[in-house]
Amino acid sequence: MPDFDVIVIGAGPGGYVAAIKAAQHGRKTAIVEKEALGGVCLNWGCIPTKALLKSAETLESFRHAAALGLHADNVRADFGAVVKRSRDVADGMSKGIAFLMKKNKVEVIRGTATFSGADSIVVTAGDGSARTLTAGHFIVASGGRPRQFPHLPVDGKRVFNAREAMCLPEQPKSLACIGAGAIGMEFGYFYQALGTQVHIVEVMDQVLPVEDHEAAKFVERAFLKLGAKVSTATKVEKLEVQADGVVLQLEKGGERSTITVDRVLVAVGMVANTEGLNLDAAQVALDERGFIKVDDNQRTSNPRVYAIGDVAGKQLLAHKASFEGEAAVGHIIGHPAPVDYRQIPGCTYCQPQVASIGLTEKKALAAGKKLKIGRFQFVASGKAKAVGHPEGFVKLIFDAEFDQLIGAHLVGYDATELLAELSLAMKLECTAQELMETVHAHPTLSEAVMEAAADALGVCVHQ
Amino acid sequence: MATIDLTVPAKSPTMTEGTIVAWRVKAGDLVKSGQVVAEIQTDKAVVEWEALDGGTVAELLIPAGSIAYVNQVAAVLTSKPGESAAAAIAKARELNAQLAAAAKGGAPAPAPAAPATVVLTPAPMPTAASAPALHPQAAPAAAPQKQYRITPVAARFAAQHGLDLAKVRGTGPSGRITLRDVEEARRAGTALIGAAPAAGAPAKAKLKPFRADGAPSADQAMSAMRQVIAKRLAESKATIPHFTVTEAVDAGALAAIKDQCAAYDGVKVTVNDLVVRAAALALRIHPRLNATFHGTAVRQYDSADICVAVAIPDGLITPIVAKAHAKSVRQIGDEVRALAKKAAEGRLQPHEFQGGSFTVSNLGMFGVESFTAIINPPQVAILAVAGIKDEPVVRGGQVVAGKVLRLTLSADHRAVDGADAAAFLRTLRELLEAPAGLLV
Repeated sequence: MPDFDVIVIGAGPGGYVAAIKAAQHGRKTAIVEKEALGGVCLNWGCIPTKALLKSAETLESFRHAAALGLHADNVRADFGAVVKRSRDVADGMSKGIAFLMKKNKVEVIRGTATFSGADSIVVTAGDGSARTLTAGHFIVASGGRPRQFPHLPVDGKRVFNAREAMCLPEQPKSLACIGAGAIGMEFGYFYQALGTQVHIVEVMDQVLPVEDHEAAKFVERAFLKLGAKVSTATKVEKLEVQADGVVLQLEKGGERSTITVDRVLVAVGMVANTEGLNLDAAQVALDERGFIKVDDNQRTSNPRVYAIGDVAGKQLLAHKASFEGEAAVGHIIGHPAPVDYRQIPGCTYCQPQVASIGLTEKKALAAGKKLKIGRFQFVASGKAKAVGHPEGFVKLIFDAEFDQLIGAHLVGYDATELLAELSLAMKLECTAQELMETVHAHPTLSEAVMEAAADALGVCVHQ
Repeated sequence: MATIDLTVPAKSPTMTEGTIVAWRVKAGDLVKSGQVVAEIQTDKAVVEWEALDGGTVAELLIPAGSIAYVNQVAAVLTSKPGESAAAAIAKARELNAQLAAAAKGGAPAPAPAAPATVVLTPAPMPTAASAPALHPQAAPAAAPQKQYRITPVAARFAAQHGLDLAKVRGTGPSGRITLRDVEEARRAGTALIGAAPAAGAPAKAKLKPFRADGAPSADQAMSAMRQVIAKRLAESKATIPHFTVTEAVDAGALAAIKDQCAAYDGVKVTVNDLVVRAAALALRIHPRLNATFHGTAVRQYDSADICVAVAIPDGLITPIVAKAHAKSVRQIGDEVRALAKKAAEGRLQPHEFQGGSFTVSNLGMFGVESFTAIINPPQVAILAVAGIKDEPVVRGGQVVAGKVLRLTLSADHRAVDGADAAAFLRTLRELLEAPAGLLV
C-alpha cells in the first residue's frame, strides 16, 4: 500500500486546488511545500500586487478628486505602510489556505520534495530530517521563476525581479521595467502613480505583447499621459550597475541610446522549477524549453506523475494552473476534463485595466477567419461618465461564419471584472445575437458588452 | 451522470390527461430511443408511447392503470445502468404532485420548465423523430419542434449543414451538443437529415411525417459548396452541347475477378477500381476524350488524370487519381478510398480535386440500370457507371443468364463527335469483358 493516493508537490494555486479536489473525491492526499502555502500567486504575485495597486489607484483618484467636486490636500503615500498592507493581505490569505487544507483533510508536509523513483519521493524538512513517501499518483506543481539573462544580471537590490519589487525598503526615484508584460506594466503603473519616474522597455513592438494591438496602444497612451516613458521595439543590450545608478544601453532600429535609472525591474519570461525534483528518477521528460511535457490530461511521460501550472508551460497564469489541477485529478478519478487553452482569460491590473480572452484580431486574421468586430467606447457609457472613468473600450471579435464569439478585449476601469460574462459566453459557444439580446442592467459598465455585440451586427443603439 | 425524465406526452391536440393502460418496460430495462414504453388511453384512443431518448429505467413513477397528466414524469431513466437517480426521482414526484393538484383545480400549474436534470424539454406533441407517423392521432397540426440542448453556434452549424440533431451525441455538460459534436457528426456523415446510418444493417426506409397543413417547411440555406455545385452544373448543362452514348458490357468476367481478388489474400477490388483502370487505358487509345475545352482550343493530355465523383455530406466532390494509366488496379483502389476518406473529412487539398482530364461517376452501389452524368467542365467527357444487373445475355447464339453493366458516356459535341465516343466505349467494353488485361 502506498502512503498516499495522491501527493501534490507545490502548494500554489495549481497544487492546493488539485489537493483539495483529490481529497474531496476521497483520495488520501498530501501536499508538500517548502515555503508558504499559496505559492507565488498568493504570496509574491497576484494578490499582494493587487493590494499595492489599490493604494496607487486610490492615490490617483485623490489627485483627480477636484473633478468630482472634492478637495483633498496634502495627500501623499507612506511607502512603507503601502508595502506593509500588501504583505498583511498575503499573509492572511496564506493562513486561509492552511485552513482549507485542514478542512479537506489534506496532510501538509513541510519540506523539499525529490523523486527517488517512479513512485516515491523523499521530503527533506528544514531541519535536515528526511522521509520517503510513496503514492499512487503524484502531481508536480512546483511553479516557475523569473528567467535570468547573462546581460541582465539580477543582484536583488538595484536590479531585481517581481518578488523584490513588491517589498522594496524604500521607494526608488526612477525605475526601468524591462519587459512590458503584465508584471512590468503593473509595477510600472504602481511606481509611476506613487511618484517614481518609470521607464518601460519592451523588445516587442507593443506593450502587453500578448494583447490585442488596439488595447496595447490605448494602455501605452495612458502610461504616457501618467508621465511614464515607454520604449517599444527596444532591446536592452547592456546593463551596468554604477555608483550613481544603473545604466542601460538601449537599441532601437539600429540606434543606440543610454538611460540611467535608480533601480531596474527585470520581468522578461519565466522558467520552470524543475531542478532538485530529480525528475530523471521518475522518468519524467521535459520539453525543449525546459517545461515538463504533458498530454491533454496533464500526464507526464510517467503515467503515475502529472504536472500542472507554470512547471507544465503554456500560459503562466494562476487560474490556468488551478484548472489544470482539476484536469489532473479528473483524470486520476476517471472523469477526464482537459483544459481548453483557447479559453483562458488574461488580466492586467494597471490602470486602465486590460482583460481579454480568446483570439486577438491579428491572430484571428492570421488563422484565416472572416471576422465581424464590434466596438464600444466607454465614453459613450452613462455609467462610465458618472463614475469618472470614461476611458477605454470593449472590442469583441466574432467569426463571421456563425457569429461565434472568438475573442474579447476590454480596456478600462474595472475591465477585469467585466470579462467573466464573455468567458461564459465563449464557453457556451454564444453568438453576437445572444450577447446583444441579453438584458444588461442600466446603468452598468457591462452595457458596453451588449452594445459592442450589437455593433458587430451593425445595430448598435448608443454610438 | 445524467438522468432523463419521460414526461407524459399529449397524444392528441386536446389531451390533458390519460391513463397508462400498460407499461411495456420495467425498472432495470434498457430503453432505446424510439422504443414503445407504454400504452396510453387518451380522450380518443389507446396509443403507443415511444421514448424520445434512451436509457435504463430507474423507476416507473405512474403505475399502470393510473391517471397520467400531460407533462407529468412517468418514468426516470439513467444514461448508464445502476446510476443513482434519487434526486431526479424526488424532483419528478414533486412536479407530478403539483401538476396533479393543478389539474384537479388546485394551484395553477407550474410552468413546465425542465428541471436541470431533464434532457427532454416537455414537448407535449410527438415529434418528427419519434412519432408513430401513421397513427391518426399523432399528426396534430403544427407540432412544435423538439428542442435540443445545444449551443447557439452548434445550432447554426447544424442548420447550415442540414444535420438531424436526434442523431448527434452531445458531449457538453448534461449532454449539451457543442460545436465539436456537430462538426464530428458532419465529418462522419451520420447525422444528415435522411442519411443512412454510417454502418451496420441496411437502412430501413423511414417515412417522414409530413405536416398536416401541407405548408412548406422553413427554407434551408444552401452551404457554400452546394451553391458552387449549383452554379457549375447549371453552367455545364446550359452551355455544353451534351450528347450521350450507352454501351452494355457483359460483366460476368468482371464480377468473377472481383471475387477472385477477394479470395486471394483478401484484396479488395471494386468494379469502380476496374472501370477507372480500364478508362485510363482506353483514354490512351482515344486521347480526344482525354481533354479539356477552352473556347477556341482543345487541350489533350498525355496523362490520364481521372476524377472520381465522391458523395460527401453536403454535396459531391471529384478528387483526382493522377496518372491513373500508370497505376495498378490495387493502387487506384487504395488511392480512391484514401481520397474519399479525406473528402468525407473535408481534408482534401486543392491540388487533389482541382484539374483532371476525365471523370468517372459511379452509382453502381445503388444498383441502377443506367444514368447520364453532367460534364465536369472544362473536361470534354464523363463516364456514368451503373450497377451490374443479372440479365439474359447471348453467348454463342444461346440466351444464357449473365451479368450486364451499362456505361453511359456524356461528351461535349464541340470537342468530340459521336464516333469518338462510340470508339472509346467499344475499347472500354473489350477491356472490361476480358479483364485479365487490366491486371497486368
